[in-house]
Amino acid sequence: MLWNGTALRHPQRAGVPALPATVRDRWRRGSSRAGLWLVLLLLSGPLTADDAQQTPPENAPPQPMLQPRKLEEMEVPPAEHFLDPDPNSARDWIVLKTGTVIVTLPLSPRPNTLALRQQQIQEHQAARRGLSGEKLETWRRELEKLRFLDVSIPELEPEPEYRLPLDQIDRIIHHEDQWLLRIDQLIADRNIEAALELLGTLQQRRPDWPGLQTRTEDLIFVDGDVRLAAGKTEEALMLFEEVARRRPDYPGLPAKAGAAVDQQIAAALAAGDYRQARLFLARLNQIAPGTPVFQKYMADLAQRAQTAADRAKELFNAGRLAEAVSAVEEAARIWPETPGLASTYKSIGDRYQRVRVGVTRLAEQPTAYPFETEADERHRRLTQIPLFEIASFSGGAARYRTRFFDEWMPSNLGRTMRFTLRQTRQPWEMQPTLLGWPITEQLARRLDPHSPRFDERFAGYVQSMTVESPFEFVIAFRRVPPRLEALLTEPVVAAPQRPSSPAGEAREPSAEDAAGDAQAFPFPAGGFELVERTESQALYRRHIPEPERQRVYHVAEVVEKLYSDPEAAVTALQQGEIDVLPSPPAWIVRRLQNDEVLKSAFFIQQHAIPETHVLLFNPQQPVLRSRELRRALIYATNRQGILEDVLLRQPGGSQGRVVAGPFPSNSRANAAGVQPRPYDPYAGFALALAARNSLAAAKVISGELPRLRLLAPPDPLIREAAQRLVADWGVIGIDAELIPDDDHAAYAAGRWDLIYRRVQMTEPIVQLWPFLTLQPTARIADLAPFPDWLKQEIIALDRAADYIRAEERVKLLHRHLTDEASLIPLWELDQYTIYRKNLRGFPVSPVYCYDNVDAWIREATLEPAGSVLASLPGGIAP
Amino acid sequence: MKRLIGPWMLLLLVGSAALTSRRAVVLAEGVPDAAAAPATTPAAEATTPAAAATEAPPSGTSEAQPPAPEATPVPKPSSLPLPIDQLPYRVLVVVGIAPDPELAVERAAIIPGLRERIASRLGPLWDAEVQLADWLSPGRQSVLESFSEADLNDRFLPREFDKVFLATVEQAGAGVRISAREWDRNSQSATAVTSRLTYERRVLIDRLLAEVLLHFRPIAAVESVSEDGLSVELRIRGGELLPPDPDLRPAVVGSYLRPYFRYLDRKRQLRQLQTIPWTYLQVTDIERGRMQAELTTAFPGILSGSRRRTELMAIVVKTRFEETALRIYPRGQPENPMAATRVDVLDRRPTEEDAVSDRLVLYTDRFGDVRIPANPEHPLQYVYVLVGKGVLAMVPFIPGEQPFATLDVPDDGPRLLVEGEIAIMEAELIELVARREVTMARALGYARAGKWDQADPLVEEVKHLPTREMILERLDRIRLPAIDSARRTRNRVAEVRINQMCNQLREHIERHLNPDRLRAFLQEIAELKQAG
Repeated sequence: MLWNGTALRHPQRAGVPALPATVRDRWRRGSSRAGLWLVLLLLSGPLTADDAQQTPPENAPPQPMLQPRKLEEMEVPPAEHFLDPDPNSARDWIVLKTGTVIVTLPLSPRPNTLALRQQQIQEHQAARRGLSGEKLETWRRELEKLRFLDVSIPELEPEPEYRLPLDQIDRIIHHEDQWLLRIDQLIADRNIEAALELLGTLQQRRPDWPGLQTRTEDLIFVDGDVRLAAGKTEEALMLFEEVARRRPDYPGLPAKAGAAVDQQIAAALAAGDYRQARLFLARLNQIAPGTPVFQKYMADLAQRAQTAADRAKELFNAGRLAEAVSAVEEAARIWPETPGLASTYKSIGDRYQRVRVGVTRLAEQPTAYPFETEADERHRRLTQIPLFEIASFSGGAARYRTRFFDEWMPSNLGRTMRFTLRQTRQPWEMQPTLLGWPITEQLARRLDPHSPRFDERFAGYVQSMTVESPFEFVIAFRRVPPRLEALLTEPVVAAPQRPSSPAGEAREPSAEDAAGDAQAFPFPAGGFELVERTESQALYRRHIPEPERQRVYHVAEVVEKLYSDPEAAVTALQQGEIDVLPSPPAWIVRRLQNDEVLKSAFFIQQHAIPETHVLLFNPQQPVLRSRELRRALIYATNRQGILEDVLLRQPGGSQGRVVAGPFPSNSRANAAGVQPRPYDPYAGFALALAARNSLAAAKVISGELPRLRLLAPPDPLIREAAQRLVADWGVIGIDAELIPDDDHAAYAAGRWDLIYRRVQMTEPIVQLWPFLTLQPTARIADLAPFPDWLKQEIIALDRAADYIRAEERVKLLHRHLTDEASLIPLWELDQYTIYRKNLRGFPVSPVYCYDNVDAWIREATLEPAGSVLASLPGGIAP
Repeated sequence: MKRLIGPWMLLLLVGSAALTSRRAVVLAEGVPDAAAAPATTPAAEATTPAAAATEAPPSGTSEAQPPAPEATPVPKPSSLPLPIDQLPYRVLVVVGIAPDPELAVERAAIIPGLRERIASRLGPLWDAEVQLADWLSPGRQSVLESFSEADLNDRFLPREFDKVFLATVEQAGAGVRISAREWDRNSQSATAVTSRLTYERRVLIDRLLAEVLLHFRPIAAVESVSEDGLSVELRIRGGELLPPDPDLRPAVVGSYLRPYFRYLDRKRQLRQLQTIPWTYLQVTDIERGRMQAELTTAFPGILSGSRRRTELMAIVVKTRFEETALRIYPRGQPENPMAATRVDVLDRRPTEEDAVSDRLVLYTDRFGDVRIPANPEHPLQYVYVLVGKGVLAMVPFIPGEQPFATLDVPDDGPRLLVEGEIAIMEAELIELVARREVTMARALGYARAGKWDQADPLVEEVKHLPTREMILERLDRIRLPAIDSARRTRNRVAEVRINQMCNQLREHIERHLNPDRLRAFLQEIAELKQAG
């Protein structure tokens, strides 16, 4: 049977609920003529269902009448209809060739119901060959069946099931098509919110529905247009970019996108922000290449760039190199694609090389922190040149180099040292050629007890200094220093100083004095001089310029550009604004290391020495003389947790580790077997209790422990870690606080209990003493707060006659400092500097970021044309 | 009963011209041994190298060395033996004047002017001769400083002068620098050079004499020592010879003298000189040439006892400098001075009633030096050297007498090492006790709540904490080698102190790590487990 029940169970199709049993029974009873009659009736005019039955059953209830309507009369349901969660509310429209519309329950398969049926028919006809007999008859019945479309017309309940011949159907407007029509209407009405809601719902239900993509594009475009009209040009531009990404040839897009960027480019140009202007232009060009707006501004920018480039050439020819570089950089900023600019840029940039360094803090900014900040250290390393400096750190020991001596030869079993000075220098070197006396004069100041630069330890070693010839001098020692070079790391050459800034108020008195002394008795001039300082950058210039007619030139200027945070700095690095990024946080290093594209653009150099972070106690605070309290603080500090959460932002990260002392973990100064104390808040609690009792018994405190005050560097990341330390101590009942960075008098007034120190202890034998006493030099008087036995151990280390004995003593001291809980070793962090690949000449494993800065060479290359787009997340390329 | 040295011995002093110039450096029998005499003055220390230099003078130093003794007529000794307090000082004042053109006028006037003033102010007290000496050329301060005591002994012992004053006058900028020092025959010692500038040329000679007199150190002979050894009777040389200027009397009440021994051989010749460090006599009463003085010393009984052929003399101590740099080092290790060592300077001895809270607290510098200022009101100061919790040395001292002095003290290294280890162990003991208590409390809390999965690990933790025996064993590992080391160096003080420290800690360990506490805890845990 063609109409057997099994074949006609279409009411159970997916998405359409099953019909009631009575309806199904009636369907089974229905004749094949019913569909035909329906069509005839529809073709002849309105009829009832009863009329469609040749022999209506007696006592049958009155049948509902179908009200055929023309398509023009049909109304697209309102938006609420489509948001109705009831699936039975959906209706398809079957448009007959007469123009009449039959409203049915949703058809299946869908969409393209008719096309799919035609395809079925064709496939069925193709299977005709070779059939005969019963099979042929079956084939014919099935073909006949395929030529009708089974529909369920809710209007004709209780008998809604009918069949429609395919050849009478013009098209089918599915429920989803009506949905899209409603969206079209909403878009036309610029009702973005409602259209977006309908579109979103439809996308959730039928993400594959034809036309959905188009409506999405229309909606984004119109949304952009609406925002453009509202003056939200940046938002509009982003939406147009989205449209362009989906459909580059969207009609009307170029004009709208041009309108969106026009105002923004004009504003950027007015503000002199050429990079921003180029960014907008690049974005516009990606949306729609060659728009009139693009052409207009490109011509304008190219003209400006050409003017700047011409001026750069003039300045360069006049020998005003720094200004020439500024001008050509300006031209490159305006429009790097300017014809001929690349060669101009290279010739000027190679001659006078300017390296830009992205930093988050400039030197001499006011802070409560009394010690050298990272920015201050960079400043020092640019502006001062020591007699000896660390060249490398391997095998746990530092190796030194000097710019000033050809050789230094010990005699008399090391009690005298003859220094032979270099008589020449390379043109690119930043130090002058020195005679013996300027060096001995600087050294003599360290021997003079009345000089602010008096170095008690150095004076203790040196018996006499003799300048034997202009290029030779001899130092005689009372005692043989175990490591001479480590004693001679003070600067002997420095760039001329500017008047001290107000930041000096927060500095150590000794540093101020030394600065005053440096002004009174200036160093021989060299290094990089701070020539300009604004709120956003500091400009350092080579004090001794490289002479003309060199084959290769080196870096002449270092510009430290200030950024709000490391992320902004790394973005600037990616955009080509800066060439060097010193000491980026660990996660930024990881990000760059894991990104093949970025990795190929930069050298990510790990420093030879990690930076160790340590907490030191104020020796003047009576409560902190309690060993129990100090141990309590150590046990209560979750160092691993803070390291991973705050500083590395990676559980189990390998760029940092908890340490047991102030030395690098690979230093020879570490005593075997000394391990970091574990995080044990219970032990901390017990010791805090013991400390409280013992201090109360000794009448140091009256009852409760006083609130401890922690002084930390101004680095936000460090301060975050310090805040965690404070919180950890609070857990065991030790109240603590982080001293605000604007409390500049806290240190001088003694309003601090613990201080956070960052140190690269390359030479513990020399550095440990001043580090422990929080002073710039090793002075006996500063040891007063230490117990006598510890004091004598520190002195014994200082008096060690040879390196092996010194190592033994520093190890013993390490063990005892740990036992005594004289400090809280926190962690060490691997240090990195990221250099752009157009830089060369820096060490493979630098000790500090500005190592060999005078030997750096920056190849002047214009940033790629598309690099301006790097700031956009993910780019906008289709 | 006072021990009388005998006037005949003093009389021999008159004939001291016969004394040999050889400077004895070997300690004689019966004098304080090295342990009892921990310190030496720089003057005494300077003897040895200087003596060596005398035997083999280095070439090229002739400019700094005094020339060979001149054929100056030696004053004839008095034919009648006079008591010491009636003997004048035979004095030679040698002046060197620098060849500075600015001093051309003064050059001729200095010597006669000086003679005249000495005669008018000192009268019979000094039998003085004033010379302009070419060998002091070029008459500068550095020349005076170049002479060691041995040089001066070599030069002046053959002559009969009791005192030789060396002075120089030189132009220094707009002023004139006057420098002087004194050599004393009896003690065979010399003072350190002092120097001052004067811009008043009219009073140049007066200033020169004042500078010379600043160095004048009268000597006295101790006639008797009290039975308790705390006071002495002396006769001061020239005490009966009152000078016209009353301010120039050899001594006044309150003056300080430093005693020293002169050991003689059978022929009554000086065999050896022995200084007595850290010992002073303060004059309490004077009656012409006789004086009473009280003894202040770091060595009780140092002057008591009889000694054959020994003269006990004393020489006046004056403060000529604003301070003295006192270098402190462990005994036998002068190359390893004690840096960062606390030194308390008191102007009186502390008593139960007066702990001397107004003491001056100083710390030695990198070279082991501490600069002790002279105190005109209380010249005699008490110097305490403190290391760790103990006093390492206590000596009386008159700062300002000389610019530099040394003090050797017992080596405190072994004790200090133990003190450090003990300090660390004390902290660890507190930590251990605190951890044990908290862990036991937590374990009991969990056990009472029936949370044995949490209680059991804590019980195990308590069981594995270090026990009393382990801690005591560690203490012994610290104590025994330290004691052994102290015994080897015969450092009895260190040994006692090490034992004291270790015993105190032992008591703490035994009290706080009582195993009964652990047993009670484990029993309670076991009972809770059975009940659960």
